[in-house]
Parts: sequence; C-alpha cells; structure tokens
Amino acid sequence: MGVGGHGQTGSDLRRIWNTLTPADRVLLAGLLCSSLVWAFWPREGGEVAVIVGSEGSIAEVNVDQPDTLAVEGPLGTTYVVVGGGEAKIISSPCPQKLCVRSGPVRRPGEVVVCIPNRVAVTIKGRNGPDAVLR
Amino acid sequence: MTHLALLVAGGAALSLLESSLPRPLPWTKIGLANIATILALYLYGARPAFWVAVLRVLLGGVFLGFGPGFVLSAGGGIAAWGVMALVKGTLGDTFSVVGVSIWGALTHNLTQLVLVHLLVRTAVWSLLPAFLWAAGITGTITGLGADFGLKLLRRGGTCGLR
Repeated sequence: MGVGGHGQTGSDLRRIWNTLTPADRVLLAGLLCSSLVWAFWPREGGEVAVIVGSEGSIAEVNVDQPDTLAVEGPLGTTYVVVGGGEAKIISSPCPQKLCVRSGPVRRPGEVVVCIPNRVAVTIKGRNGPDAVLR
Repeated sequence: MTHLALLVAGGAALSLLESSLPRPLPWTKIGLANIATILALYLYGARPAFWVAVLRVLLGGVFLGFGPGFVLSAGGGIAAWGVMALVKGTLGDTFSVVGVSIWGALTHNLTQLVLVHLLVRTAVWSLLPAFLWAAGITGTITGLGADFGLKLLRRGGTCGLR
C-alpha cells in the first residue's frame, strides 16, 4: 500500500474518504452545509454604513450620499469614503494597508477593518443588524 | 527533542506561508500551521504539543512581528491546541486525525473572529460562514497532511524523507 498514488485520482479520493470516520464526515458535512446556507441566505441591500473607531460606533451614514469621514485611531487618522452604495477605507496610517487593499463593502454584514488603527466599517440593512444575524 | 524542534520550525514556516495567502479578514490566518500541533499531539501527547504550539507562534512572531497578527495567531493556535487535546482525549476513537484537525481549525478560526471583534469592537459575525467554510476545508487539508505525516513517521521511525 503505497502512500503516494500515481495518477489514480479515483482510488486516491477513496483512500482519503476511507481515512475519515463517520463522525469526521458528519462534522465536515455539517460545517460546509451550514456555512453555505448561511452565506447564501437572501439579504436585502445595504442602507447605512456604520463606522466604528476605538471608542465604539462613531457614525452611521447613508451609503448613497457621498461623504468622506476622518476617524482618529491610536496610530493617526483613517479616511473612509462613502457613496454610490458602498463604503471603503481609502487611507490609513497602518503599516501594511491591508484595510485599503480590502476594497469596498456593499452588502449588509460586510465589514472592512483596520486592526492596527482600530477602525471598522460595516454595512447595515434597513432593519439593523438583526436582518443579518437572524 | 529534535523532532519537536523540527515541528516548531515547520509550524513557523507554515505561518509565514499562510500570512501571504488571501483571507476574509486582514491579519487572520487559515490555520495550516496547526499541523505542527497535531503531529506533536499524536506523536508525543498533549503537553509537548502545547509547547510546540506556543513556540511556533513565538517563532512566527519573530519573523512576522508582534503586532495584531501575533495576537490572533497566539490566541487561535493555543485555543486550537486546547480543543484538539480535549477532543482527542475524550473522543479519540470517534474522530480520526482529520476530525480532530477540523475541530482545531474551527476553534482556531472562531477564536480569531472573537479576537478581531474585541480589537475593533464591531460586528464581524457576518464573516462567520466564511470562517466556518474555511475551517472545514483547511481542517481537512491539515488533517490529511498530518495523517500522511503520521503514517510516514510511524512506519519509518525517521522523518520519512529520502
């Protein structure tokens, strides 16, 4: 029983499947199915962008009205741009700029964060966060 | 001792690799480095596995810096060790290495999500499905890798590398 198969994908997959116990399979299937159902559950379009700073929520603005917000964090000022149904972080004093590269958020529950500067931007639906977390 | 050191180094190397992969939230990791913890858990037991988890997180921090990524890595890595040791200890006959690994990945990802929530004080729970999905995939990959590694190590008694 060689460990490295040569090309026989079918039997390799069967060997992998046989490695799993029934409990493994239930755990894996449950995890994948529940997350899929949750991810594709219908959600309404976003209405409000919530901007959170190190002291908690600091602003809730309409995502359709163009606006630029300056948020103060421990490292300096993070700039958030809202408008056209979306919100994004356009500049931040953090070292890696992962938040800027994350791009815009549009749908309720989507979130972009700058962890070093403690800033987060999320989208809220018409009925508030419960619309997402039901 | 040498094997444990190799596991620590391997785990840290996987941390480096992971930090360059895409993920749903900045600074989080998908948990492939848990393979070092799993191998140590199955080959040497819970206590050595704890030290492998701690040391590979510290070594990863030396290379990647002790910023938010380190906090998430440490929290996720050590929580995953705890749950994996518990599941293996109590339900070790029910779940294989792969099942234990999935539990570890699940814990790793949920812990990171909680830590992000504490760091930025905002509702990041909408990312839960993505994190659960990722846990299923990476937990399985990591578990199969660990299973493969364990078979090699148990058969050969060496690292199995020729």
